[in-house]
Amino acid sequence: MIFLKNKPTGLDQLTDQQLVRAILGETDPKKQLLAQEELYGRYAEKVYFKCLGLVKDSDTAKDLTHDILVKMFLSLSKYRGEGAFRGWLFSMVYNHCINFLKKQKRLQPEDLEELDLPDEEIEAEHKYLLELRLLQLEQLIGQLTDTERLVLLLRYQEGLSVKQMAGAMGIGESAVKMRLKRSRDRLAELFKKLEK
Amino acid sequence: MNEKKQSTNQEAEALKRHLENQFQQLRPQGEMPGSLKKNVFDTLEALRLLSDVFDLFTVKFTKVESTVIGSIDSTSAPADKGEEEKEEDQDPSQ
Repeated sequence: MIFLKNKPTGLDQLTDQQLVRAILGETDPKKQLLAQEELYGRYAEKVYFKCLGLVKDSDTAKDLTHDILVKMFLSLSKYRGEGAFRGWLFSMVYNHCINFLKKQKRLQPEDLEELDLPDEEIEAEHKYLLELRLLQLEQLIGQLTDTERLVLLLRYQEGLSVKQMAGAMGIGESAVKMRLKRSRDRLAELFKKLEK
Repeated sequence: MNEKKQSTNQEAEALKRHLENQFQQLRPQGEMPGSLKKNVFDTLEALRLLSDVFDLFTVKFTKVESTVIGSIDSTSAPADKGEEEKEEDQDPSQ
């Protein structure tokens, strides 16, 4: 495979939707490859680092990124251009990584208890998490379990709602709330230990 | 009661914003492997070839096959007929 480097194509001026249409509508294989490369350049790194954040292993993240990007190119025709392309792609990333973690049995089994927890993310004992800083978080994130890290990243880094998380993880909303609460509890507990 | 609830809501919002702010600054260490691009496009190319081969054996092969069979029929028919005629011309007693 030979990549055409630094050739001005004007593809970088296109929006994601226009670029997807260009890839799907292009009959010339060379031009189609250029458009695919442009899309790859926009998202490959983001996908890789998302995978790395979720699975914490560079070789696994590389394999997952490969599979996700191939899947993305093969299912471009399913993207209808209704929402943002990045949202469509990133939901593919979450689903793929969550399925991987489930297959590896790295996610805790679904909670059987269906507690009706409020959406608010406050527990009195967590107030001092307001003191948590990036350096400390970087230390603590590695000590969390896969499930704890996953739910906190999806909620606070990716900004997914409880409903979106439930959809991506294939569990109920109350189970998501419960996992979020337990993950915050654990983060707070680790932070307390670190501060002592 | 309402004031207490409002204060809790504000605290909850502040904590949520703080956590979002900290988590969004988290960046995994390291670099993306350089070989990834080649691997992705090689796989796409392989799948394209596979699809072409599959296409050949499902759609095009049947078309080619029927064309070939048709042309064999059309070319062999007069020859067969000729042979039959020859056989008929021969004396059965021989």
